[in-house]
Amino acid sequence: MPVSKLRPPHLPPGHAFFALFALLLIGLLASGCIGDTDTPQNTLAPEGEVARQQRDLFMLAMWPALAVMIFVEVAIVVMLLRFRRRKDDQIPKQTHGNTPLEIAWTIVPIVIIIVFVGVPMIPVIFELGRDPADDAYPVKVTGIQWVWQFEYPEIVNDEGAALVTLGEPLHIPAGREIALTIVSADVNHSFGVPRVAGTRDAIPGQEERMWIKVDEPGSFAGQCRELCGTGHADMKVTVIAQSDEDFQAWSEEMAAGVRSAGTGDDSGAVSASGSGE
Amino acid sequence: MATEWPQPRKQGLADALGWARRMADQHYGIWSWIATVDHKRIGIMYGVTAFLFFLAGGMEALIIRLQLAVPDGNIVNADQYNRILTMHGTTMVFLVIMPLSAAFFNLMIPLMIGARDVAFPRLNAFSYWVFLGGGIFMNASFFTGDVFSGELGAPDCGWFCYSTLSSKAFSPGHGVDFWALGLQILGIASLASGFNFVVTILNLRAPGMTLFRMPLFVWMTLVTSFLLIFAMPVIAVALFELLFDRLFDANFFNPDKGGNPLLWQHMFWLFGHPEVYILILPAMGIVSEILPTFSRKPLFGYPFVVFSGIAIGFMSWGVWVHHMYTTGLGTAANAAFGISTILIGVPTGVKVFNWMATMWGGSISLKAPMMFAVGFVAMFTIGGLSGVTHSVVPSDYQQQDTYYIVAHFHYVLFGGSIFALFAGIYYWLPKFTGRLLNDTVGQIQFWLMLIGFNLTFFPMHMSGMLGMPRRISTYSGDQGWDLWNLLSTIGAFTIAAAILIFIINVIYSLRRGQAAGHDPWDGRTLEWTIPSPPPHYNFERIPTVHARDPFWHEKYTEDAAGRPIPVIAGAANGHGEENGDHGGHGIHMPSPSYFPLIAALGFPIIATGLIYDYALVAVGAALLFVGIYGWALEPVTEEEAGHA
Repeated sequence: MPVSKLRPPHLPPGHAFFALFALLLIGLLASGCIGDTDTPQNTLAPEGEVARQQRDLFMLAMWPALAVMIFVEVAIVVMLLRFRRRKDDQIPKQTHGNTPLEIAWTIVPIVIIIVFVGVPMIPVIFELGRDPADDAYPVKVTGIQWVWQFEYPEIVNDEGAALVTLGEPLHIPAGREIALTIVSADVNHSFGVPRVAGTRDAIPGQEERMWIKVDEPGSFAGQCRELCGTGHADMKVTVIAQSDEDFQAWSEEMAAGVRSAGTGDDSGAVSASGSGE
Repeated sequence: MATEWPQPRKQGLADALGWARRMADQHYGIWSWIATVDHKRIGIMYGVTAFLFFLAGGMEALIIRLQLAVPDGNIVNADQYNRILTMHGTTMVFLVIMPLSAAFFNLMIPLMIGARDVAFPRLNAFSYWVFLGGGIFMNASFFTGDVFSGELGAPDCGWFCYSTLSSKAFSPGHGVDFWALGLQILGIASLASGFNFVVTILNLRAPGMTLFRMPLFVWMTLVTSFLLIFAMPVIAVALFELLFDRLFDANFFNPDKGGNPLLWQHMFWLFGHPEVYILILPAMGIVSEILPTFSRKPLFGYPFVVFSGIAIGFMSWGVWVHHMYTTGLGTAANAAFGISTILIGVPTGVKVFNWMATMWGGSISLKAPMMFAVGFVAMFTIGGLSGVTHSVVPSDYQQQDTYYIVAHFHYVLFGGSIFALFAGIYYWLPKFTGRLLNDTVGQIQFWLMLIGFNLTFFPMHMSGMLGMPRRISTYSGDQGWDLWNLLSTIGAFTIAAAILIFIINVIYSLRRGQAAGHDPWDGRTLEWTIPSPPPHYNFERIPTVHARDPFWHEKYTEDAAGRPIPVIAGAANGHGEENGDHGGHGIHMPSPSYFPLIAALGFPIIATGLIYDYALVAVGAALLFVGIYGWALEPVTEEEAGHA
């Protein structure tokens, strides 16, 4: 008897909608599990040291966020069903607040967010932002509307001119720290190769240094992340990480190319820096 | 000479002005709108104009979504895409959400604080006309290219317009000039209305309406107005520098001449982040009014909600670098701003908890305004939480400029602001039209919009995590983004259908809607004590306020057990609007004026002159001068004839 008084046997029409809402929510969450995740620029499938640390930190923040989201959304739906106005409703008690409770839900999130997100974040900021190691392999990256130019100071010809490639893949040795110097020749670009490392802006007149390190030989896709004009979508880049031997062989081959720059050999994009045009 | 009064002079002009003024005083006809200084009419004009811009910005969004529906889209080319993208962002921020909020400031603030108008009614009209002029000017840029060959003239630098892409060298044509000058004009409107509402709220409150008895929406308007006052000058300086670079070959942002392109980013985001809260605080205010009304409970923890709003206002100045984590400002800066950014989530979270506690134990009526308000809480929470995930600096390096960010801020600005603004429309529009919007149609619109919204923007989290950069006009099919983009496009058109239903609802309800009466929702605040639509003087007698939620306390008292019961014997309508109405005789309202419009017209003309021909600058300046001169010298109220 009392139970049926509390809950009328017929469902209010709103229930169908809330079921819909619940389905929507489940659908949203489930959608994270479907679809191909082995995609070229997946930010959560790291193949390098930097990207891995970034992924780990994202997960650290994402799971609590997801938990809070589910809690809030479910709580809202439950409340709307439970406190839905009924025909014989009295006017509810006029609660104005509860100071201890409110202080609690101000302080607790601060503590949680600082302890679980803020504190782990700080060392990673400093680790990823440190100067590259002295023995890191240097490459200078220059964004130019709408190609990437790479300068390899350690691949030089007899006259000391370094290898510069334009619109070619970036070749790096796998397993070794790389020191990137990133700059732009015209407008802002951003050098992002998600599986290797998060993006870094290329800004005219400002040389940025960052280090990356790729685990295994392989090929990784990236593209410009900052709106840079009509060619923005086409400003792609491939990073080719090679074993030490392969990289050595490639370097030597390229050094030869530098020497023959301007003689019209097959690697037209390869030229020596300082050779003018 | 000295004894002669100037009145007999210029009889013809005076006659004409007098006629125009009398026409304006009639409360009907086009002139009464053009010259109006009535906050309610200005509010309606703000709302209608912003909604039209919303449709324009929505069209731009649909073009973007069509282009990206499948890989290698070719609905538009990259150049057109960049321009449409820029105008979509600029329109939605500056021409839709800000003025829609301004519409609610105008409509509601005087009614909620028990005032007859804002502090500076003509300045208020000026704000509107300047906004309209700026909006039209900005959009006119589309037609400055060779339109018939598909060459649009709109700005192409993104709504953030980073240097050096915005420089003359990389963005030739006049698009960026239109953009910068248009924003400069809109900034004037925002500043004027910011000052107006600060003064109105501080000085025009009804007797007894202490700061801590003000409705939450009034509080949030106050905070927003202060943010406008302090944020707009920052972007104004940035825009002046950009304009000097472009128009007069200055080198503020030119790295080749010692300028610094990063300076633009600092100034833009120092404005831009308070701006984000300018967009969301009014929405929070609206929701803080609707949730209590439809739960029949006062807002839970009023002081916490007020103070968290103020805290957000202050903290919003200390987080701008989170837009610039990847620009290499150094580890210390990134760490400091990372911490401040995760902390700004806290006052927002406090508000969400308070809203939920407001509903807890209530008697919740799920009418359309409430559905949208709850939709706001539900969707805004998702946006806030995804915001926390990329406040984490190293993690943000991966999400920076991907669709993950696009998902985040659309959850905040669409799922947040736009849902709340629709809640406000369903809640308050009947006050001004006298007719309720159809609730069933409203429910259909809500669900369609909620589903469409999530279908559009939730997949963007996925495409973002899979590395899809923002602002690319095409993508290839081998990146795993196809499915998510197609879903987004389907969702966008679902939203469009929901908006169409809303338009039909408004048109239908204006003609056939159920009469609203003065208090359709069992409201708690002063606006529900007066008729719908309100007389132009709002309150027959200025009310005296004795408590927070003053109207509720007039309608309900507490029994011995502390439970609220209705006040007996019709004491609820003791304000005498229906009985003993004097028809407003003896109440002096500010007279209509054409001068705000004349002054406002000066700005777009000056701006056009700066781009095309400096002679026009003189014309615009003259118009501005004439407008302000006439404005300063016209009498505050017309002689009694005006009240015929």
